[in-house]
Amino acid sequence: MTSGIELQRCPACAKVWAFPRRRCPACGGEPERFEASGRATLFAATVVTRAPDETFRALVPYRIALADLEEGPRIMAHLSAEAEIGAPLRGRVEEIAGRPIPLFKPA
Amino acid sequence: MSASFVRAATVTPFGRIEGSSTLSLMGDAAQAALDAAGMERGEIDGLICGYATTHPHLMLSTVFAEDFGIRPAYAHAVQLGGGTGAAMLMVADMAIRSGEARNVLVVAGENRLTGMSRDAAVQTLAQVGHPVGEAPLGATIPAYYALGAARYLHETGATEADLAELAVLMRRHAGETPGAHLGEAISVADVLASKPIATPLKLMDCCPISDGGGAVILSAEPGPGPALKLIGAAQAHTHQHLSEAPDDLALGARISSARALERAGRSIADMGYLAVYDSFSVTLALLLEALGVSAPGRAGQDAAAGRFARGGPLPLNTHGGLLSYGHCGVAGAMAHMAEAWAQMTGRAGARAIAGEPAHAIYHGDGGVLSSHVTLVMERLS
Repeated sequence: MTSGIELQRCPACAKVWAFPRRRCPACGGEPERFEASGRATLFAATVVTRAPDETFRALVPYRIALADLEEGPRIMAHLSAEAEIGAPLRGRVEEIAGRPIPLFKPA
Repeated sequence: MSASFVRAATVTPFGRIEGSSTLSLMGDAAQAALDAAGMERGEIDGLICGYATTHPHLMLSTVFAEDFGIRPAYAHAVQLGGGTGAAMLMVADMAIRSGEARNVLVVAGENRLTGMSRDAAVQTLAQVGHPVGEAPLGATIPAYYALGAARYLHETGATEADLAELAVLMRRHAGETPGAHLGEAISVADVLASKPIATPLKLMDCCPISDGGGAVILSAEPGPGPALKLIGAAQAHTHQHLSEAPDDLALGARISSARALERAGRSIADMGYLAVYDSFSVTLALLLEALGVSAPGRAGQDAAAGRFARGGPLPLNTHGGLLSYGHCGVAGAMAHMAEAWAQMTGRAGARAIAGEPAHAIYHGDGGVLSSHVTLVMERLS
């Protein structure tokens, strides 16, 4: 099963990151894309009840998390259920509010 | 070595100001600063302004200069989120010390409450988040800070009630301050029972959205009467987006405050008045601890013990801060400076703090603890 969570890495210096960039932020090298395993640990989570717009108002309350991917980068994602900080997670990109969003579940 | 002095620092009332605009609020604040300094328009030769989400413009500084009636020799705008107020003062200080200007007007204002809908304000501010990896997830500024708060509580063992103490203190101070947006007293229980926004933050952990303006005149001369001298300034920028923030979320505050204090030849223990950015209760806790004022996890308990009260040993944001005096964008954090100037120069009237501290520190933060600016000031009497 693929996660659909796309990362970038720099073949020159081995740095790995999540936000799409044209150049490696460490050495300026040309990055290549690869897919994350979807395995992560929970860094922090919040339950949002005050949504920014009508689309998300229909989904409240929803959980937003910072997930530390096993490849290194920390990404923001949705979280399906309550989990303790440090808990193992599994995640993949799902359609939420009509757009692709990484969704993690307690592993 | 030349130096700069705060000749005046003023704010308009904050809150719902019907009929106000960015330019009217900037102008009201600037006129009040000129009046407080006993200066005329023609003496202003430098102009630094902020930005306004209700009045986006390529050249806000000269739009304001023309409207207000000044022809500065040096002018531009600064954009650094909540850190803008302190950053404007830092660049004004550099302009004065370099000899480029002698009297710099630093001004900002925004009708952020009446000039746009609440949803529009929430969405505009949420764009501080990453356009691909954060904002499209339905995250908001409170959600970003809530993630930081969840982590802070986990790491330090502090409680939501500890955070609430900081909101209660800011409200108590605002209750004594004319022009505050929110002045009605609240308790820790009120904060804990207030509407959930993004756990662990409730409505009363969050600053309101306000209309308001603020202005500071920085000068090469101290002027008549008690004055405030800028003796150290520094910045640090560790990240823009929360996803790429260091594990130590307030690391930038540690770096900028340490550098500003070093440049001033002072330590945090020398500071007798604190002006610290407080967009959320947790922002204030993180910054007080990063500045070395409170031990990790203890900022709320220090507030509860009266340490930061107006009559306490280390008064903090005695106007009520962003949390209760209000938050109108760039000018929101200028109110911290206005209060510091009033308190440090004996102009706070009935709100005066007990002692006459020799030094004050002003710390601003923009983004999600992304951009930090620290100023250290010394009383001259």
